[in-house]
Amino acid sequence: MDKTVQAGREIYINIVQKKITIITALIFVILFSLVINIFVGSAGLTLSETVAAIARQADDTSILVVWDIRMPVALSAVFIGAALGMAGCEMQTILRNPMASAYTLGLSSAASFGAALAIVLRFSVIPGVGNYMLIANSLLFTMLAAGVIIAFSKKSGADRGIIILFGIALNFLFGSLTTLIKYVANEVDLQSFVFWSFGSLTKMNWEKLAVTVFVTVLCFIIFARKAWKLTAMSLSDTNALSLGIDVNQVRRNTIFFVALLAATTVSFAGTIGFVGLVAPHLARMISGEDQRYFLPLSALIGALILSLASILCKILVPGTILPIGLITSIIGIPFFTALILQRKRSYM
Amino acid sequence: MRKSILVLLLILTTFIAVGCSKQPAVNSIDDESLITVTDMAGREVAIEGPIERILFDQWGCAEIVFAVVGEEALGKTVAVGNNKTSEFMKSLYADKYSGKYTQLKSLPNIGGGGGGPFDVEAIIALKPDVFIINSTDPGGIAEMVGTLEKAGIPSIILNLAARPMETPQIGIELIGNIFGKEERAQELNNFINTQFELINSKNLSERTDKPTVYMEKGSGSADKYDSTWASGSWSDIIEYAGGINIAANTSGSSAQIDPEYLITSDPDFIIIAGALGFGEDIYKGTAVLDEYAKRVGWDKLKAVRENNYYELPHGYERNQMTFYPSLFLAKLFYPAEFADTNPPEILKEYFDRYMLLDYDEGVWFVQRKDF
Repeated sequence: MDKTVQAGREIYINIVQKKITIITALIFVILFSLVINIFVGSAGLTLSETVAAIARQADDTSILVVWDIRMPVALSAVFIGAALGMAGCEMQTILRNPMASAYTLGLSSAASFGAALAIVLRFSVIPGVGNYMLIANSLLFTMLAAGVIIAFSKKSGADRGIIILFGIALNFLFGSLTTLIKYVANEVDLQSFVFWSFGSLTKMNWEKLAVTVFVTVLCFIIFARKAWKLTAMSLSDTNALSLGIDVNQVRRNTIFFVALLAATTVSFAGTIGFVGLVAPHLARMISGEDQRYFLPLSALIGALILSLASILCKILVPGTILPIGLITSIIGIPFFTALILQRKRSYM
Repeated sequence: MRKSILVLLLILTTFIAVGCSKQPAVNSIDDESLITVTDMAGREVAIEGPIERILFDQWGCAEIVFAVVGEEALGKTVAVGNNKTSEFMKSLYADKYSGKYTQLKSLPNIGGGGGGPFDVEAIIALKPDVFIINSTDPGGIAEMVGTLEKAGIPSIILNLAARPMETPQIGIELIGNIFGKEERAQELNNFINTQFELINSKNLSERTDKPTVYMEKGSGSADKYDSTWASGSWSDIIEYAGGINIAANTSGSSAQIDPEYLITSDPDFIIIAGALGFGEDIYKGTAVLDEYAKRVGWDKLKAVRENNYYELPHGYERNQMTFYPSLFLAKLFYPAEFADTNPPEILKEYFDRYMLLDYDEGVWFVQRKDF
């Protein structure tokens, strides 16, 4: 008996060690990309000037460029990427749907509607927030959409299929409301809104970053503490229930925190597609459904994708910062498609 | 493992806290050369003179400054933001002036492009003395302006589009104050006001024989209507010139018209705001008019049949030359009242006195004939 247990334990330890190695490697690659990101930009600072600016030993302008422009963007890329990866991971888990992402259930179209209200109609849901009108609006509408979904799922004892359908309905509702606003917009506002909807990190600053980090870390801790329950959610509802899991409650709580992540990222950076869908898929290829690894891997892969995209959008056209949402989709999709095709066995 | 992630997050959070708490850069300013003005967004701006390096958000904005300051402003231009026509405008100015001002051959890219983001780093690297922006949405650029301010780069926000008959003059006066060209600004404003006074003197708003007018943007096709103006900008200009805008109060500020409504209204004039201007040849102008004329029912429209069907340059409802479309339309609507006035001649005079490119280098109106 000892021998078989011993052999089993060794296999388990090997698997765990492999996953930990991958996670550690990912952390190092992300840190590396973060550093590169801080060194890349059109201000024409040399390597040593950048180092001096990081140490605050350079002229005021270089310090400003490195500390107030590059660092918030570089760190935001990592944390927003992680937030999108995590949100996608949990959305796919609770809806048991590989097509789900942070933006499923109409969350991003609710955010877009809020943004359109601010950009086109200059209407602020909370009066007196000034330049934070756009952020406040999209944050509120995303949470409103999540609230409606949660209330709906409570009332009818709805299963995940019905929740998805309701989410699609919400998506269309906010989509058409946004179209209505676009219809009455003048061309300048319309263009601003189009650019907003591309997704961009250029408007990030330390304050917004601090909020993003707080929300991302908070949600990570909350999800990590529920790792076992969430892993069980990958089973059918009946099986999960038989394991003593209140599937509806777990689902509702998770939707709330996913909405919080989506609301934060969308309101600060616009809709950055693809990351929230792909990061969990890549993570699942490595770890399977075990949330102890699936969750951190989704976050790390999301962080890495967005960090690399953030570097690319600065260097592809010098003097122009391309919208990061374009980069993640255009470069990411062929890569992702190739990966799925290469992968013969079904991992879904 | 989870511990190590938490430690990592802790380190990063500390890093961010340091970033949040640091003081903004303070720049020493020599009081004697300081120019202080209030821009059109109501911001108090201090610019350290003498101004040697100017950045513009787009060429249209640069031309406002060229009109007041003259060639020396072109010589001090270090970059201009992108928009649809920026590459073309850049080449026009470079062809004519790069012998004298060699920097025009290779103006660097700073991003921009309507609502698109500017590359703030690229702007800072260019170390301009002032960044001049003509924007209808000062709130949307507030953050960028704030960051530039921290880097010691003052921005001047103009908003010429707000009221087509008044705001251009306010912008011109402001530019005059900044560059010490008050007299020339006054002269230009007198020129502009003369045109508006001429229109005002005819009391067009009290006419009872006002013609009806339909205006549309020039990016549509025979199958696809482009947007019209239900209020503001061109709609204001039509009304000011004594016309009745048939799209007024129909729907949103730039929605499409209902073709049925257009055809039953059968307006006296149809004006397309198209891609006329520098470098566009007259045939291209007619092409848009021909294309639109293919639409269902347009051959029956009075304006099309009687050749009261024109194209004007889009963008002239929001620059320093709003007097031109105003005068052009006023004369079109009331030819007898303006028998001695020739709007294209007046625009040519404006070009000769205030522009760095020639009137002949562009097309400023097109009438469709021979239908």
